[in-house]
Amino acid sequence: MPAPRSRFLLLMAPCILVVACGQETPKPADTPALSRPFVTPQERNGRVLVPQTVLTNLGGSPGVYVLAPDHTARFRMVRTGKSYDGRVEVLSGLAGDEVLVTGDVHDGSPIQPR
Amino acid sequence: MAEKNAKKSDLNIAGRVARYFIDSKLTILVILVAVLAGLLAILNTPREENPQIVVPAANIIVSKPGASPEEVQQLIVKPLEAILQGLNGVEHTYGMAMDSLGVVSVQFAVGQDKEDSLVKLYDRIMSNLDRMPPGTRQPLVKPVDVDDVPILTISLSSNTLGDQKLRSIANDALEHLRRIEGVSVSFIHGGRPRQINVQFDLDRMRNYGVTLLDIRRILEATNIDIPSGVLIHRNRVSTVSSGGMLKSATDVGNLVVALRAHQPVYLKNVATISDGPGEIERVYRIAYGPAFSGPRPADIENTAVTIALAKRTGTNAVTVASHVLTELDRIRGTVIPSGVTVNVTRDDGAKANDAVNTLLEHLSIAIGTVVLLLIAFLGWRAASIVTITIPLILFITLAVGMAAGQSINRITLFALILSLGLLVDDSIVVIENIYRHYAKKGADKLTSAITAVNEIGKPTNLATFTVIMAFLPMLWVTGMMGPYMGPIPFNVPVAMIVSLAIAYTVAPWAARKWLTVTGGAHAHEHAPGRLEQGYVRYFTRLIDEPAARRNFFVVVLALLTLAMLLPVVRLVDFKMLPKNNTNTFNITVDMPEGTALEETDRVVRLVGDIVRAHPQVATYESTVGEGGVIDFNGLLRGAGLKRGPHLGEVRVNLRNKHDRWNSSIDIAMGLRKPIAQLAQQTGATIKLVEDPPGPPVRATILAELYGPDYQQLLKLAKNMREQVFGKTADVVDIDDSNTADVTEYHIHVNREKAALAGVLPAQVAETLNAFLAGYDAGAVHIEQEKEPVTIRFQIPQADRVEPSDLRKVFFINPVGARVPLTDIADIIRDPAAKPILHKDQRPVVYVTGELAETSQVYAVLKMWWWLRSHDLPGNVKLKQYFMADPDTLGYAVRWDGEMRLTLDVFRDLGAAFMVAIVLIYLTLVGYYRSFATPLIVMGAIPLTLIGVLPGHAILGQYFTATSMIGVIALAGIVVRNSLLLIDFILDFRREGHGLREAVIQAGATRMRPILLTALAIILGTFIMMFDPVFGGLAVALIFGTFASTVLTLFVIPLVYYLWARREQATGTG
Repeated sequence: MPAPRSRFLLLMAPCILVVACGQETPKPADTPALSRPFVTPQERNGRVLVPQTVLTNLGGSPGVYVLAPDHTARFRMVRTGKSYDGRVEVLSGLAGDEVLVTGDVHDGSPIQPR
Repeated sequence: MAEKNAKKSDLNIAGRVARYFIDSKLTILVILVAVLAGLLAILNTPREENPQIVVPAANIIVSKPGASPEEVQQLIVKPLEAILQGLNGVEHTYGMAMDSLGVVSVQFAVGQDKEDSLVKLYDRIMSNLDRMPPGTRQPLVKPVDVDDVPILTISLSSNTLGDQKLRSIANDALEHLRRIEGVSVSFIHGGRPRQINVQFDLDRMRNYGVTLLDIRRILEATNIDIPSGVLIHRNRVSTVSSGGMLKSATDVGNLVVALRAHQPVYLKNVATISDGPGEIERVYRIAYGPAFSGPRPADIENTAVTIALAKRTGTNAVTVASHVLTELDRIRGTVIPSGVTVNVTRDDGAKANDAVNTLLEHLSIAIGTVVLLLIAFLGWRAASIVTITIPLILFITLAVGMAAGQSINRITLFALILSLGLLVDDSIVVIENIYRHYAKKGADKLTSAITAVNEIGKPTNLATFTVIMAFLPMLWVTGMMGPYMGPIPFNVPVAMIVSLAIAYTVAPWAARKWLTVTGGAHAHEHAPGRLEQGYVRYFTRLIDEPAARRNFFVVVLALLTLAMLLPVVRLVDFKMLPKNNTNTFNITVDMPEGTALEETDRVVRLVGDIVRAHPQVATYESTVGEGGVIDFNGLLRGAGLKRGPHLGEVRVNLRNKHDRWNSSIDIAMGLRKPIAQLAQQTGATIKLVEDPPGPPVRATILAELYGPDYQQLLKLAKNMREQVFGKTADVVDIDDSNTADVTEYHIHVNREKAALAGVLPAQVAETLNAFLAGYDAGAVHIEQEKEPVTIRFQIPQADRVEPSDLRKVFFINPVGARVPLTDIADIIRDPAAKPILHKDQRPVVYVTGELAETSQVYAVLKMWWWLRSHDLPGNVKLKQYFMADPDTLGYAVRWDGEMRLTLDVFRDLGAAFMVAIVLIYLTLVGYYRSFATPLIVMGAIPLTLIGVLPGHAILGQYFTATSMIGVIALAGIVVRNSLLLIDFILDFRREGHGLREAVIQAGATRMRPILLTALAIILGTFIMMFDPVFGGLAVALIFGTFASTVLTLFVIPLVYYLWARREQATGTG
């Protein structure tokens, strides 16, 4: 199949190239990696429990920050159930083996590995 | 005087028209009117990207609480389908029987009047209401309207404000935006509305002895305010209203729901009351990719609310959208606070405008190349006259289109580009002949021009009409392809007729003004170039040497056979329409039923991570819990009904296609692999849905399984999916309509125990429904609030996790004793019943698939072939169907989806081609008064294949529906060429030349104009070759014209010569 590109592009190509070279693709989070304490959820009788303090709210959704493999804090939506002295049961959203990031972070903030 | 009169009566229509307009002031007026009408049409005609396809459809939703899917199927879906099938104009009915709910979607035939169809539908349902089984609720008819598809979506996002606040901002903004003229349906997608949450504490309710029923009764009796009448006093009238309307959460909390030990029990004593958003059932977000150029928020994914606006039928999407956006800019900073990020994520107006402007630009390029060609062939004087006529013809055609209520869309403009090569012909022929006459000795400017027009009038009329005949039958193409392709058989014939009219009016007028009488200087006519000399030399050989002639015919036949073999050896592949390069596509995430919202959300975020890594992604919008804002494709795929925590969708918006190299097809291809990996890891079905270039289908490959036993069908679907679809190359996004096994807790009320305890089963069901699903017990009355603030009863999330939580539920019987739920009911765990699907009154299971890059035709054929020779596990032999209705006594599969559309389209276009050929033949028979001569003229039609098929093979282009349109157009074009040849031969013979001489001379004289028109078509359509959708049409026209023109010049005169010689021989001997 012939590459479907318009003739306009052929003419504009040099201009675009020039523009594209001068412009670097902006990175979403170009901030230095943050150092934040980690917490792991506890599992008790098949219930996943997390400390009340890790629960946050992002734009109206309750959730926690999970440490992603690329060392960023990623928001994870959770649904909470009953709380047992400072710990809250997570009904859905966590598998239980995640590493949670606490403290003030954003979705996508780079986190210093331990 | 007498001579003049005689001359006048001699003139044919063309001559008479030319005579009237050649020195008339009217001609100038015609030009002026054409220009003005054209400009008006370009500026005012509504613009669209693709022609609107009207498919009236509606969903009829009937609920029968407590009925199993089987029951719903028997009692609701089947009878309803039967009732609707009898309705005139109904094309298909699709049924879905679920637990307690039946949905029948009825789809009317394409082109049926929308209002009429819906009125008929309502009437039909209303008149059959008495046949509804007892216990069913009133049916709800929801029309599915193409006009309600939003043309504009505006995303408001912020992570600091929260979704409820965003929704309220969006509501304020929407109030401003929907006032704009031309906006019809508008709605807000996303964000939770404000409500008063009443979360019951079951323990406290038990302590106070308050039941849900009590609370509900009291609330409903309190929250009321009605006008009670008037008081008249001292000539004044005062109105009286009474009641105890609740105006806030505090009011709700202070409701006295019971008395205990002579103390009031307030609602707040037994429940937690809050004013705020309800529970999260759906989530909406927006995120930014590398191609996004604006400022980025701190978080990757941001909570969003989308304002969606549709336009009124017949209004111009471009103006409506731009007015709305101007208003949006005006209210930014005031109505929309500056902390809210605003992104316009869909703008069909700009998209249409862009498509139309690009094509207008292409049209001007095509005109430019044709003009250059004309200057090269005719010299600048004659060329400039023809050049003037081109825009005039296009202007009038556009004006006619506007008057006929058409829109300017991609297809209209492709039709104009296509007709460009054809419409210059008439003017060229006229100008050429006037030029020839002016070159004669003693030529008079006026009379020579009229004579010239008169001379070529008849063949030109005929040639134009044969082209029109070729296109007209396409008007009767059925299905969605009919209205989609509709602008071609409308605009091309209009352009042809207009070109004829202009050629007889404006062309001679301009010729008389600007062409000079050369009077005897035969520079142009009698100087055969090298091309003509070569032609005459070779052609004479063919005529005189039978061996050379035989070789020539053998070569032509061999070429034709080889060309016909190309599709057989798969050097040319068939496809309905290739995908288009677009700015957006969709990714749908379908988790197994029973997956929680948070888990689906996790997978959707992972999809987002994959999408965000692509450098061409500008933004993406994720929706979890339902589909995104509906588009035309989704509407016809039935995406509007989908809802549930296991569903998600990611709408990917790419960098504008003018600013990027790779097409959306390649981008989607690149994403397929990581997405498939993710799907495998997470167990989700993730599909990449690209907008189809033509009419949408439910799935590209759609196998419908029919048979007597539904459970067996589900098993077959699984086998089909794994054994057939999974093993066919390039088939991706495989899915079926079966749902995952979900456990269900059934609260089985023991009738005897319940009766003894004095609790009715209905009470149990209602209470549980309110506790678990939530129940809206009216609304509080808050002025200034744009959406109703409902009072929602529910028990908190933490108290409804496991079936054991239900043990706390109790009832109070008429004697005042407390009856716990567990005393009168058992909680049973079963697998949930699965929905049953129907199509046209037959139970069906669908297996679907998409194609990554190749044509579905071959994948389906491969599967068809496999199924012919193999049984599915369990020794099931499937009977296969394509077009016919399946036999449901045994197990059968019908191949629907794009395959069906392809078969329908090629069948219709094939039929249109046949009709076109018959029409052309009949016209020619009428013209020549002979049955044989038209056959010779039409002998040029098969010659086009020698060009068309190898052209597709060389360029690697699919033979598509547009290629087929090209073939049909070619029939008209090549007949025109050979017609002019034969006409000249006949003229020469009438003038007294011998047969051999006439045949040779005709080719040599007509060669130049024939080559000129052929080149005009080739150059005019060249620009179309780069379009992914219409490339096929361009390839067919360019290669077909080239091959047939070259061959026609030899074959047609030669065949005519042989035929005429035989005629002479039999005639004389």
